Amino acid sequence: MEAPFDATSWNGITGAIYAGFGSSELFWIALCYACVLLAVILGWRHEGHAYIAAQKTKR
Amino acid sequence: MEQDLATLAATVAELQAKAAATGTIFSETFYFLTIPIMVLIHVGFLAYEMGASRTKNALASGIKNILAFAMIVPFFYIAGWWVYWAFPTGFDLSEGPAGISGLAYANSIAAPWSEYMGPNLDDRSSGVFWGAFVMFAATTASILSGALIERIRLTAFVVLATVLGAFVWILAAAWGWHADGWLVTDWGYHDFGAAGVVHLIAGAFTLGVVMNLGPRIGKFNADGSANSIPGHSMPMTLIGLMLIIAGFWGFLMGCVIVPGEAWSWSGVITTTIYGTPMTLSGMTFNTLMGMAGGIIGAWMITRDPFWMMSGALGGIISCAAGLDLWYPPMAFVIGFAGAAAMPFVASFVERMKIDDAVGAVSVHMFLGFWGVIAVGIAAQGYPALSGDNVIDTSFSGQLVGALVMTALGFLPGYALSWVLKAMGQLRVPAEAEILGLDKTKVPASAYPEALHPTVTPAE
Repeated sequence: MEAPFDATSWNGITGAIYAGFGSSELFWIALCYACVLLAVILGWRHEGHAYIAAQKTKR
Repeated sequence: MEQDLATLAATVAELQAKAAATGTIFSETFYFLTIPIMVLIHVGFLAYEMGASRTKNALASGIKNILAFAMIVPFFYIAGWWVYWAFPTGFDLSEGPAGISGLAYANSIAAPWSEYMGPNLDDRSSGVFWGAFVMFAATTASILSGALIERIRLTAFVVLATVLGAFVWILAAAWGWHADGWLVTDWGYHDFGAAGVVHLIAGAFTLGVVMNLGPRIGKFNADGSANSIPGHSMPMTLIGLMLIIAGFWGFLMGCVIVPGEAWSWSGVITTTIYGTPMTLSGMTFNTLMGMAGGIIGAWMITRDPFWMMSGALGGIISCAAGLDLWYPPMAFVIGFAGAAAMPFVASFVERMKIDDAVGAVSVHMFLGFWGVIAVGIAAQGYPALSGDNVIDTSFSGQLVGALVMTALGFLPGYALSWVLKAMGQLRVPAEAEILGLDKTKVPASAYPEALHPTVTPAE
């Protein structure tokens, strides 16, 4: 991943300057939300196991 | 007609003078405000450390933290600020290409006897810049402070914190956080939000110290397994961590150079400390996305509120070096990955029989290193300085910077704490540690009418 321009000076550079501008936004958006989804799925499993364990303890 | 022109010229001159005065007052106020916001970092560290201590040590931990903050100030006045301007090109004290470094320059603006090191009606920037850097220095000392709670001698800690805050980190800042710094001019090192020059170096210094300090009594069993030593107030610790996050915004403001002043890099836009363009808006996108990624990543791995809040801090640290450059979802992923890895690093440190009471090595050293390297992986090819034909950011430049920061932090921390240990001045006596440092030496009680002290199984 690189700068969205090829230059050895900032002179004259305007607009969006973020890494990967114009080439990889969709990849990073997908990866970002994949991380969130993974965390929520694992959290949901953890929570479910915890409730089942609590119910078993009560019995 | 001539009279009209003269009146017009006078009006324009008056407006220009007013605009300049407004700009000057804005810049002075901008840096002035970074200081109370950054004080929140230290409010946070104070609450965090006291909460992470057992009741028998709560106030002693507080005293240590408060005193470190105070000790940094006079030593940063007498030496730290001068070091920053004197050593960017290395130890030869020569002037760098931007002409804002070297012995003569440092003596003129930052020596304690300089006319700029006190109230001066022609200088509205030195004091507020110095104050912002004092806050950075105190942050390094606070990073060190938490890992050492409940067993270090107060005076030994004061010596270590002063050396770190007034000499070691600021030398790293001169090399890698200054437009004349040799890591920047020779290697294109980029560290906008101080992942390396504050977090990595303070974490590495801390690792050197805890190796010599040894674990708290009861931390490890005879078979080598570790015990958890919970602090007496997790809620206080969590609020402290959130206050550190709040203070981080002042920290990041202090990383920005405002436009329009004689010392500014630009007449019209905000820049980094290197003179490269940036926007507060872009920094805001990435700070919040990195923080969110850090919280979620740490939650996914630990389910522990302590690590979730440390993950918030860790997410920002992971993104700090490139907060001016990331695409925001990229910042989220970098923070997420760093914070998800952080608990494993903490476990590894513990398996090495090192008692880092608050995870400072994993949060600050590991994630500071990751933050610097992340720029080399995902933000290569940016001009590292203002001007024409300047060096670009690169993986090799970031790697060299990260290794230099690691060595510059670890070696003095290890060496100085080894000397203090050899002199018998590093650690409190075992009897005092078991009794509790508050009862041993603090003429006050944290909870005189409530709470009972906790002990570990080994005790």
